Amino acid sequence: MLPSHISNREYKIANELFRSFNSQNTIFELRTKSNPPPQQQSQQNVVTDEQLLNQVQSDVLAALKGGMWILTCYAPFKEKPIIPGLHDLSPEEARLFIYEAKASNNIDNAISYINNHLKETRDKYEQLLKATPTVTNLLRSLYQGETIASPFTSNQNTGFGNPATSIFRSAVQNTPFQNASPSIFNQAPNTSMFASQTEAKDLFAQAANQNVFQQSQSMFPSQDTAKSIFAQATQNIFSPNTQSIFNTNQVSNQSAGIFATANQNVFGKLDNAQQNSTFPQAPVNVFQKSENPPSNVFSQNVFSTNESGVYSKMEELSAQDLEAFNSLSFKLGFIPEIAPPRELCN
Amino acid sequence: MFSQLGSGSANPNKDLEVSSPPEDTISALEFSPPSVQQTFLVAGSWDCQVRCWEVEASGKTVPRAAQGMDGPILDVAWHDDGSKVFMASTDKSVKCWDLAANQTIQVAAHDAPVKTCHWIKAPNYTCLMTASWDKTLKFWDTRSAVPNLTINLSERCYCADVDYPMAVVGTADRGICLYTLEGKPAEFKRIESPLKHQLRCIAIFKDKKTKQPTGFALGSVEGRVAIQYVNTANPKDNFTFKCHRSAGTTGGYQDIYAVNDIAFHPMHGTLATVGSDGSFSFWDKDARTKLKSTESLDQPLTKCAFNHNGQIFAYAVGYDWSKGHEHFNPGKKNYIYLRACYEELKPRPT
Repeated sequence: MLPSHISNREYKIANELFRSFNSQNTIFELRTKSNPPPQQQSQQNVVTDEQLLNQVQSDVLAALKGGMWILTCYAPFKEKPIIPGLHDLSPEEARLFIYEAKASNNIDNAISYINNHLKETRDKYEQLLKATPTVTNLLRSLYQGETIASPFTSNQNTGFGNPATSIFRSAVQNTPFQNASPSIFNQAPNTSMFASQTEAKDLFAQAANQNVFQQSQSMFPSQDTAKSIFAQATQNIFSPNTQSIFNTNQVSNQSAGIFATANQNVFGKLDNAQQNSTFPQAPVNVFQKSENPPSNVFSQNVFSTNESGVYSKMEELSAQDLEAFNSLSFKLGFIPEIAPPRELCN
Repeated sequence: MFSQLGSGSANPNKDLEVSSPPEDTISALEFSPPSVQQTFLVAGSWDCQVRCWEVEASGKTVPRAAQGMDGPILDVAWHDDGSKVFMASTDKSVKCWDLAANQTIQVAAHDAPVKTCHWIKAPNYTCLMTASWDKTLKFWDTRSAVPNLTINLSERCYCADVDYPMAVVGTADRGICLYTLEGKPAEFKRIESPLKHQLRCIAIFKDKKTKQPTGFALGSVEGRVAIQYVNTANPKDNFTFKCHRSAGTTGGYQDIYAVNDIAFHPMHGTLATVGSDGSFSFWDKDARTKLKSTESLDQPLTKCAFNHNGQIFAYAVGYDWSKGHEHFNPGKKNYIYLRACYEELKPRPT
């Protein structure tokens, strides 16, 4: 049952992956291709399903228990694809989503959206902890570098009946923040949260016919002219000029700087004036303190798995699905899109 | 269940506080280039403002000017002559701030928030490179309404760096693409990320002898940094290491924090990392050792920067959203600290 097509190189790579998670104290632990394989391997030249599962379980447990940012993709095996169905959403994207919802008085919906997205993602990671045939087959396929469909059932009860309406799904799969399809924010069915944001003023609109390079060559000339497109660029704007905001510098009191441990002090020509200068204040801060502190989205116990939602019912399977689940391996193009029933998972 | 950064104090490393800091998290931090005689520091913030301070030799910071945009700032970049600062915003535009005139003008536009901006100075051209969550990378001459070049990305841009003649962009879902800027910008090579999770920051490093860009460091949400060479005969040269983790409270598991920023020292070639754990660390990638670790502050560190001659290390303190909206406290003050760092970043003697 051990696939014969796993090369010696792949075996080594996997071994290195396994090793890298055993050492917690080393600061610099190598994850290179040249590490010798560990001794505990029972078989030569193969990676067992158990090893693949162990690797993933170790990673996922570390991520969930370590409080890592969970809205992340995950590539368990070096130089292999990411787990399908798990995609990146950066803290900045989540933050902007909340800020813009707040600016348009939609904060509660945005928070519940994020909470659901977190829960859904956490559920997916937790599914990876289980040694089900789906997970095993998924990991095996990934390890072999195959492109596969998302193994995650979308019919879990996370409050999103139709995932296609999720604006974050569209943010992940399409151009973010431009989705005009119906969102969960029903008050504004034809505009996404981000579309309602003030559009950037397009001062280029009328300038389109005035391309400064129409009469000249491309900005990337093939020969080294070494000439900046900025005609005035060589002029130092910090030269004495009474209109400049930087014009107050005078040579005075050049004390030894605390940063000046190099040969010369680059902090020359400083003034002692302007001590009480502050920034001009912004007229309004749209993003002042948040009201309605939301419930803690991160307080869910990562290990309270709800198994009942994970499996499909036998009667939900088509004959084709059943055949696929009963076979030893999935065939590309015929991988069931629903979870296996519990009956077939032992 | 998450451990809080409650144990850290406000300024445990006794560094110099920058006056009049931004009112929301600092998202971008850049010192002026060597072409400017004085030292200026600009910071972009989630409060939609970009601020500029003059940093005096005494360490005193003097606020000089500020400019706003219509959305939070995600990146800033200096023009090589030090006369202008570019500001990338979630309002989908990039503006050029002429410091002398204290005026701004839009110079770039995308279909989604602009995550990064970099000024490119090549021998035969100069241009502004912008990368966005709209999955494009664009090159602008800053006087034209349309980009001179648009390159599609595999995903939304999360991080980028430029060191002529190399540019590198990291995207969502672990995409990394290298570009050559010689002659004109062009895709050079796509690279498989050596990290398993979401990319967060990327920084190009130079070869010690040739002083040419030769590789890059990548930081991820997984408390891990990868050192990756572009062309190396020996795969052993590439490695990853854990950082910004702490002994966990949950059954022996480590707390894993994001690596929020990486900066290379301009003289020594050593590097600094800052993380969600509220600490910064200095490293020698060639000796593969940690040069310095620091006490955690009571908030995450979001950005860091060296000034052009490597005397000053600046780092920004504020909430990075790593624990979600629940842990955002808008009343908490943001800080930028300055540290005399030249000695601390000297490489380990070989």
